[in-house]
Amino acid sequence: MISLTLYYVLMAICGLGSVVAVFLAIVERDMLKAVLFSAIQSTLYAFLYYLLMAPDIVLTYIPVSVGLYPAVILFLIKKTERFEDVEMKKGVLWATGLLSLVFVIATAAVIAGKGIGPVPPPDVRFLAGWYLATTFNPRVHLISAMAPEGVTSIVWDYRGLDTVFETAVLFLAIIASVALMRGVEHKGVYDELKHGMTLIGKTITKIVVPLIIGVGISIALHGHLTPGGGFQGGSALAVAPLLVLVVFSKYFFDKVKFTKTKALAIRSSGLLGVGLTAFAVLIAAIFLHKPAYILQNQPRVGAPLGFPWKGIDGVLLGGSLLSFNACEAMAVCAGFVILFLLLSIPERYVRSVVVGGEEHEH
Amino acid sequence: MMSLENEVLLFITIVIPIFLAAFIMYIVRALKGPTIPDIVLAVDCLSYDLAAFLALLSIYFRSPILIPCAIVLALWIYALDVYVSKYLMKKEMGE
Amino acid sequence: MDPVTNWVLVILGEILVSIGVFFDVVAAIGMLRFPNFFVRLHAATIGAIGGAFVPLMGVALIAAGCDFLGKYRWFIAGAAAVTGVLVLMLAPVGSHLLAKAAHESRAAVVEPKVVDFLEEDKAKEGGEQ
Repeated sequence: MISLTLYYVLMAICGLGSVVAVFLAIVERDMLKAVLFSAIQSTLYAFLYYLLMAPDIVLTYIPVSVGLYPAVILFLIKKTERFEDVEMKKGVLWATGLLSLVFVIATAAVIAGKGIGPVPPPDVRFLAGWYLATTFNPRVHLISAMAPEGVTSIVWDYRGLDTVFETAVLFLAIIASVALMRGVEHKGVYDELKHGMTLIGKTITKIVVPLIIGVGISIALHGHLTPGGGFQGGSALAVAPLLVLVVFSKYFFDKVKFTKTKALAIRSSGLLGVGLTAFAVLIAAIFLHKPAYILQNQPRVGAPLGFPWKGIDGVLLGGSLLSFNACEAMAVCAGFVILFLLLSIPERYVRSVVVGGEEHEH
Repeated sequence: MMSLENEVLLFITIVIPIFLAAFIMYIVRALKGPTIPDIVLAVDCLSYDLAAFLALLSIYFRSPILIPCAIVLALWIYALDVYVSKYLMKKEMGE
Repeated sequence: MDPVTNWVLVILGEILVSIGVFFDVVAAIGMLRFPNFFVRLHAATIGAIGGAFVPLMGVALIAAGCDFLGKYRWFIAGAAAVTGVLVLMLAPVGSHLLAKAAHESRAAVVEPKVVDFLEEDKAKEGGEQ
């Protein structure tokens, strides 16, 4: 039983540490420090999710919250200001701390006293059993998603429409940023010595970037077999160009002629792939004069067509999930690259363009 | 004679509290600061040690599927170093 | 593999993990007790190389010897070794970039200081310009 106690102690320390980190992040005046406190919280949460046996969430959480989120906030700090000019009053600070402490203790007491019933509730357990029985089960092919990874099957098969809408939301956000920054074009000549960071950093980044790309691609393309998936893979992949952008400078992208337009093209073809996969079975069914659904993966009652789920030698293909994951990863990665290329334009230049435009209008 | 499995599990059970003590000290340093490089350094060390700990735990839980988390943690914490030092050095991210 | 090889691999791995845990605790104490950033860098080196690379290699050996994990133990062993090599490459570079940034932006004081050539060079460059 000693191991179970240890397990709870580990989780308690992670939970406590992350609560303190979040509290410090909220009351801190220096935004840069606040970002770092939230990174501590993310690391501890990743460990917590690992202890709860949710590697899918760890694989998404670390690239997004350690790799992407601090970068986004740092870009924003660069664009605005590092220090908040209003300091929190001592009384408010103490009250906030006391309130969060009371909240933590009260929640723990309620859960320990079975105040919200058995955790997890019995009806959720039934749902979990149902998912486990149907995600990969060749005997009940007509109701099965035929992919062994439960989370990816749920995301793209059981509730595929939601995921398509989520992709659309991200697409709109990127479109908005491109629209906001139209007319701001900045090019420069890459200088090995002047731009970017030290030679040591550049050399090791050259080694690490292919590794990150490899991990990202494997997360994306293995999403139907092991923890991972399209969004996870895409956000993991996006960290590679972001590292190049930060370590080698923006002008390196000008040197290798990778422009915003090319990233937009990759992004659009990824989205087109998601769309085509969603309609693929329907289009085939129209030619074969058979009924079918939009977003159909496997054959269903009354709709006999479906994606192949088994390749040569019994390799599992996961039906439409493989294609969805690959296209989504392309779209997400290229979307983030566009965003960071736009945000990395030096602030003095952006300001000169914006202010100059206003003066021209007046 | 103890079986191999029991021996390994016992060893890991003994090691976990020692790792835990180290983690607590790193977390305290990370929360205390005082300067920004201090926090980043403590988070760095915490993450690298956490990666080793996660690899050990995946033997303990007997689930090889958990091991990719360790690679991901080690790869991406480097990105945090790079961002923060870039900001401190140049006050600009893309140059 | 025969049981003897398994035992040898597991014991070797456990020795490495024990060494790693020792370094880990030492580095953590140093991290907590050392006075400022540039002194704490030393503790960070021990924490990253001694406290992460060495135990990761140990985990790889233990996993290779644990035949109760089945065929997938090679997956754990390989991934742990790859993680170890990554830590070996990334941790020093991360510390280097951080130290350079801290020195350049003066976010941390250089204390105790015998000589600081970087500072002198910078002052010289500034004087010439």
